[in-house]
Amino acid sequence: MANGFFTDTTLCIGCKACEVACKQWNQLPADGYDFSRMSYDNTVALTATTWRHVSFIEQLSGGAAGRTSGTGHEAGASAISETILQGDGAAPGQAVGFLGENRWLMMSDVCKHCTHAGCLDACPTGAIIRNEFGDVYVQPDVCNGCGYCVPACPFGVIDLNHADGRAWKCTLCYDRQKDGFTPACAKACPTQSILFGDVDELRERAHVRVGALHERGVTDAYLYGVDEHTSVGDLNAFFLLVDQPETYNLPERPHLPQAQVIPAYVATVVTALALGTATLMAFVMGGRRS
Amino acid sequence: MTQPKKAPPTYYGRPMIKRPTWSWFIPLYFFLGGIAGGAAAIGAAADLVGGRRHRATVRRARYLSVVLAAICPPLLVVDLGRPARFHHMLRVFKLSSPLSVGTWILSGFGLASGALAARQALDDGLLPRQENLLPARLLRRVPTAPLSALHGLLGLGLGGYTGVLLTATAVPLWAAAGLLLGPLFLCTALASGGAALTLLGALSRSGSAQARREIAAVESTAAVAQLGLALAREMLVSPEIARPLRRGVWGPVWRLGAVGGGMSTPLALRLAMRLSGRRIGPALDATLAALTLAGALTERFALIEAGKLSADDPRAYQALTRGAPGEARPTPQQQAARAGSVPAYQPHLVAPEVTGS
Repeated sequence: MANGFFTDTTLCIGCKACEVACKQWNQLPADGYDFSRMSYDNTVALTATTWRHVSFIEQLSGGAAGRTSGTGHEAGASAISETILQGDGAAPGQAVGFLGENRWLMMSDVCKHCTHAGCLDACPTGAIIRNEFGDVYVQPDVCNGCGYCVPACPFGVIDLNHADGRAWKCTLCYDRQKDGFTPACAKACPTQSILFGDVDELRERAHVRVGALHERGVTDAYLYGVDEHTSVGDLNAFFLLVDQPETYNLPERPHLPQAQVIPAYVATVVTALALGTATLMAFVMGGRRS
Repeated sequence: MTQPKKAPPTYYGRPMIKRPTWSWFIPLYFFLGGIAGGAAAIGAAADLVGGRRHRATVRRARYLSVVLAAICPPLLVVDLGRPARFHHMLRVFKLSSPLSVGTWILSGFGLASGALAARQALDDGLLPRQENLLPARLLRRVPTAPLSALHGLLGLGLGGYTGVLLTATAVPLWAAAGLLLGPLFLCTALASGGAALTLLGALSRSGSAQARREIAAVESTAAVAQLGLALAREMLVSPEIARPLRRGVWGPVWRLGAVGGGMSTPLALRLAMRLSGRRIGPALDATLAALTLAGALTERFALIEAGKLSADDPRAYQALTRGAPGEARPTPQQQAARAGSVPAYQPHLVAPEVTGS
């Protein structure tokens, strides 16, 4: 029993209402008016002060800017103008579709609240806990900003806020949940791309949605973070995607950093025993010689 | 979802994970903590089985480890985002977090170093010798042999845990090294601890030639293992992930400084001297020790800074995660087949609002 998010990227229209609602409710500061020059995505990434981030992926067969490696806004821009100029078989106003050959993918990214969370396992102060709603929560009054959770997150979510020296990420609106409210982003989402609820129920709903999309011909639709057999396990905030995970900056097969910690301890202890014995031997043999 | 033959896409070349936020205090701590741990381990072995000829070795090891054990915690505390909350590390013990394990190792090591150094100072006549003074009476009761053994074991732990700490992250360069980083850092710690003892011995002109040769033997053993592990790491980590250690600034630093200068050169020179039947004098010994220490410092900085670069590289992280173990997720078709029927989504049913809204 856990509460989580189901983010259906086929419904996302890139309005960023989730980003704004998150910032407003959680009183997060603005990140500046910087232009990324790569797409409409000027938020760029999840940070300590940005807990929802809408990605914009432009896939155009002309320049294939988003589909290959995203070499920058120049390739993307020329592809768009080419597509629009030539029409590319699309009626005016439909030059860039959402799910066709030329498509524009959007995804509202968020902390995944992993079943086996790297940040939680790494935290040496016990500041990061799993709360009563089954979500991964950083207790701000305990965190001492050691920064070890930052490289321990397999999704690059949690980060240190250098202004206040602590680690921050999505709380899944712990405070709102305690009062029986929907998290701010899900509440604000105008297309129900972000659904909040019991994860088991959301998974059922997500499978129905995948089935419906397949029936309508979107046979690439699949769920990311459900029935995963990786060391991270299922994600309490999972996604419906229509392209490979890396397109959305998600790892194909995330793995829990701590999965190899016990073997690593054992290897180190074995080395320690060998080196310790060698050191003792050096002194014992030296004693015999002298 | 199509599996492409060419490289998977990236999101405008943006990093997939966050780079570690640690400043240069951390690699410096890895270096100094390694020396302290290695010196403590050698000092403990010298104390337990070294006999009278190693009295000076034991003294040097105890003083060196207490000085370094006093420097290290401040380095770590200053690097915290909230330094005043450093003691929050001491409210839990988590085996899953090498940082937590290391906190306790460092704390225990500091206490053992302090007790042993105080006892040493008392024996050396550096502390007031009044028999009736309580601290002196307590210190005299300290069972040095078991405490030395504990000190040595904690020292080995201090040298090795830092490698496990790096391994247990998502940073491609560190995670891909698998089980090798802990042993590698431990060998570096022992080699640099021995080197520091040699260097201190040469500077203070203490210790017999025999004791010096024995420490050099320990140093060389650790260096051989260190070199072997460094080369094994080189073979294990795929080129896409190892790029920051092969090119750019850190490539030459790692290859020429850490592996070439710090590990290989002292070993090669010692071997050459032995083959030619000549004895290594104190001056050359101290020079080689300084080289080993410089190599250890270089190794720490190169691995940590190159790790940060590899965290920024989405290609490296893709290479790491695509090779992760486990079954593949169900295909889109399998997932679609699982569709049952559920009632239409109604936000208020899923998350009940407070009464009246």
